[in-house]
Amino acid sequence: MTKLAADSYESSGSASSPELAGTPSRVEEREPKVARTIGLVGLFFVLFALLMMVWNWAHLTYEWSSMSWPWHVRFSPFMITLWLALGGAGTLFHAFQDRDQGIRRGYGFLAFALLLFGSVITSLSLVGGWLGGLEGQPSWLGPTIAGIVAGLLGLLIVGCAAAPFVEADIPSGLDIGSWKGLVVWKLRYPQRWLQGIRTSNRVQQITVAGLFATGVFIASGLLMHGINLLPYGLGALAIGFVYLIPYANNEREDAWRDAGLNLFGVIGAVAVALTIASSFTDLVGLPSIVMPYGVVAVFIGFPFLGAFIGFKGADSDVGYWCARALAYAGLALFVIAAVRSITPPIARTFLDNNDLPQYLLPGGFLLMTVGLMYLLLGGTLASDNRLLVLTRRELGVFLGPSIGWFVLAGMAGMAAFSFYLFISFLVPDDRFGGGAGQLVAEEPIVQNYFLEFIPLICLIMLVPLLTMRLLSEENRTGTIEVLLAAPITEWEIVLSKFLGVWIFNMIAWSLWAIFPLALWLYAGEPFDYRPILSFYLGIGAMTAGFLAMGLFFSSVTRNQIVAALLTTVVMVVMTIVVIFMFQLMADPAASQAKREALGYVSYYHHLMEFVRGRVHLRFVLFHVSLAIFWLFLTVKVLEARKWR
Amino acid sequence: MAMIQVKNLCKFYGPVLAVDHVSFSVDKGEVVGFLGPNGAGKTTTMRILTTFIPATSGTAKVAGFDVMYESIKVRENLGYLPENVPLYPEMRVEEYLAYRAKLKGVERRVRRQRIAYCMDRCRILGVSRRLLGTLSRGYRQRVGLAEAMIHDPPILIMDEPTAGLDPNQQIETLNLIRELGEKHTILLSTHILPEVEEVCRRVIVIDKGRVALEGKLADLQRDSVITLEVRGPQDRVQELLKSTDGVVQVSALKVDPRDAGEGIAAFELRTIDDRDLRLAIADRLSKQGWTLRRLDLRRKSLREHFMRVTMGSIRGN
Repeated sequence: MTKLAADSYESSGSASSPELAGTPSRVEEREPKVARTIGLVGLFFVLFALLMMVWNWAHLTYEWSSMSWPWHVRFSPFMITLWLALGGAGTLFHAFQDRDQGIRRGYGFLAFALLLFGSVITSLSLVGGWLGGLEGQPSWLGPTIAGIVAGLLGLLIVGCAAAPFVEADIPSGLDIGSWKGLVVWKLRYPQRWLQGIRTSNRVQQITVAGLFATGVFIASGLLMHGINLLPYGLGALAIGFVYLIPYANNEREDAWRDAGLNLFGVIGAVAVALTIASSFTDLVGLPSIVMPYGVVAVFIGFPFLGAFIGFKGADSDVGYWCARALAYAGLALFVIAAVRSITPPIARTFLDNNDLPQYLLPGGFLLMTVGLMYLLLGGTLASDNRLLVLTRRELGVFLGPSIGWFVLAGMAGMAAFSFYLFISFLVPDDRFGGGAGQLVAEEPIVQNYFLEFIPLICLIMLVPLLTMRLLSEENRTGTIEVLLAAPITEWEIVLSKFLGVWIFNMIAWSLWAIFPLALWLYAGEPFDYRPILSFYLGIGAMTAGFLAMGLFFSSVTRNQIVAALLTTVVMVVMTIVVIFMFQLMADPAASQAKREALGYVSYYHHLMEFVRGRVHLRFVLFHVSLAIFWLFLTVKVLEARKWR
Repeated sequence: MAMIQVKNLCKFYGPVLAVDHVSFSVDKGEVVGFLGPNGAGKTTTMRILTTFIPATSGTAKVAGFDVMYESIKVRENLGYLPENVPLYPEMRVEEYLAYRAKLKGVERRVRRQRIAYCMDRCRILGVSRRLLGTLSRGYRQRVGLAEAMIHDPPILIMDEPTAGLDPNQQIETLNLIRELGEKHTILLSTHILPEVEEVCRRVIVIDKGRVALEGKLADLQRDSVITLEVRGPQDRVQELLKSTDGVVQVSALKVDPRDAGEGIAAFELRTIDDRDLRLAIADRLSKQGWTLRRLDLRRKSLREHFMRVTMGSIRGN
């Protein structure tokens, strides 16, 4: 009857590319003038910042401080960072918006170069520094081995980048999607790669360019032997990561896109392998590299593999298998670390053997946490368990284009500023604005970083900001009805919302750890970093309690603002309790009973105790039980619609 | 087997009685139209069936499971398309369908095919990578429909599935519902009566929370009325008509003054079993010498039935 009419409707939309042929609207690409202008301006800013850095280097090397104006002027690191950041933001914005193939691939090549540079330099520094610490070695052995390792790593990366082109230009006929097909394909890859170099232009170009770049980076890294290049390597990895994202997002052709995604995958995989290796390097006679390299590898492995699986799609075959492999790796890591942590105490009590050094702190604890995190990441990505599916979606909302990135940027900014203040009180240097540096600070010194006014404000602001949307938005738009039309229970909904926001909150707080970590790596004298671990334990428990409360308030209203207000009020009340506690502590006449009672509820004082290494279980239980209480109430609110 | 069984369902919203002792059942494979004026209680009844809100009293069973006590099993067997199709604006179409498929337990092995199939049937392949927040009303409705059928449930409940769609989309959606109706049990609510006549086999009309009319569409459409205009004395013609075999009810209609001047009378007849007695009547009338000007058989439309049972509520009866 009316099928004909229906068919002609669908084909009436014209399109500029075949994949858009089925869409109802006309699609025309227009020149992104604004984006290009911003990108160009950003590029100039970056170049200007680089020029400033060169000027500063010349200033230092040639001692221009004694010369006349303008030679004796120096650029402050703050200015340089500001210009770099603004320039980077501009070019990044352009990279996301511009759909032109040439520009997109230009950014892609930039990312490729940066990632190669970063990987090569990082591995040079790591292996070189690692082997350099060994005694009784000839001085050329360390750099040579480092060079070989870096070269192999570069080869691996270039090979992975070239793989999709090899597959596209010389089809193998194997089903790469399946487990077996992938393994067989990988085994036959080297000879196919050589064949690709002979026959395909694209493979040739990528391989030659990549290997040439790798050689140059290795050579320059070895030449600049005395300089600590690790920050540059890691920085290049970070920047390369950031620029690869818009490339992977916008790239249309499958082979090119896969090449970019493979970069994410291979670097992430190497980082995970490094973390696992770090758990037993000291058993085979090599120095322990858990701190800091094993942990640093986590900061690399997580985003890279996360991006790889995210772009490939956890539903695709490759993504699914990668997620499962990650989960198994995490499990293996956890088991190794746990076994090694348990062995010394058992040996001491049952076998009377006191020779084994304790492993739990710091290596064991860190590796077990990392293993669990990998297990969780891989498991949740691969799993079809309803709670995990829901949690993944909730977390995805925060990590996608939403307020989440502003929160992360804000936290990073606050952390940077706090760190600046922290350093300025330690270092009596003109460079930091002439702060009254003490040079002597009481351990744990990180308390001057974590227990300040700014982190407190961050805590109070973050909780309502993150939770206000959670259930109130679902109530308002009616999606709660659709959500409950699926066979899921109220507990699953509440738990998934809570876990999603709590995990994102921990990601935001983990940004604060980057700065002390950098200090630990860069400073000559390692400070006690264990308070950082206990701080995070404390923050984890505390935010669980507060976020659960925020979730409850968002469940009782349709209006986000009301939810935010209610949460803020309670946070402020709890902070007033903290202030009372401070007054009590200063007042010598106050009774011991009052102090104990108030000390039980004053969350800031809990944190203070945690940072000083005294992880009181009763404080942890206080916050965790609060979390359970608020979650229980939220479930009841959802169930209450069944009582009306 | 009755897929949906509702017995004496009542729902109070505070003092307002939204659903008043409603009972009906829907058998396997039936497509039933759920009609009623705005505010009659259709959406409330549907929400009770989808386990979103509880009834104040009465029972409802879907696929044999009680909506109050076995709600998870009910939801596993049910696909629901709500009235305004609320969606998460930040998700993409394909992503959203994959998410819902996982929540509803569609197995990994068949998931991709199933999603592609539903997108194809609902004609949303072209927008599979678009953000849900950017879709027009018609596309949102189609995404909602694809989502409702993603886990191949035996029962589909649709609240105004074609509301707000343009004519082309309405036709497509109806085609799809008709196809689905061959293998699924469907309960759909709508205001658009011609659609019901096209797609549904049975109708239930709700008014003021009560079932006002229920029956097979075929039966309802059998109701017919014969209209005739004849030149002759009104009372004698009426008597003759009343005495005709098979005529159940004769009512005189008002005529134009001009027609009255010419001696024309008009009547409306109802017959037993809606028999077509036009030939018999024409015969009898002509034997008496009265000239027939018009003789019409008209089947009562669903609209007339609807207005007949619900008109009272508009007049405030």
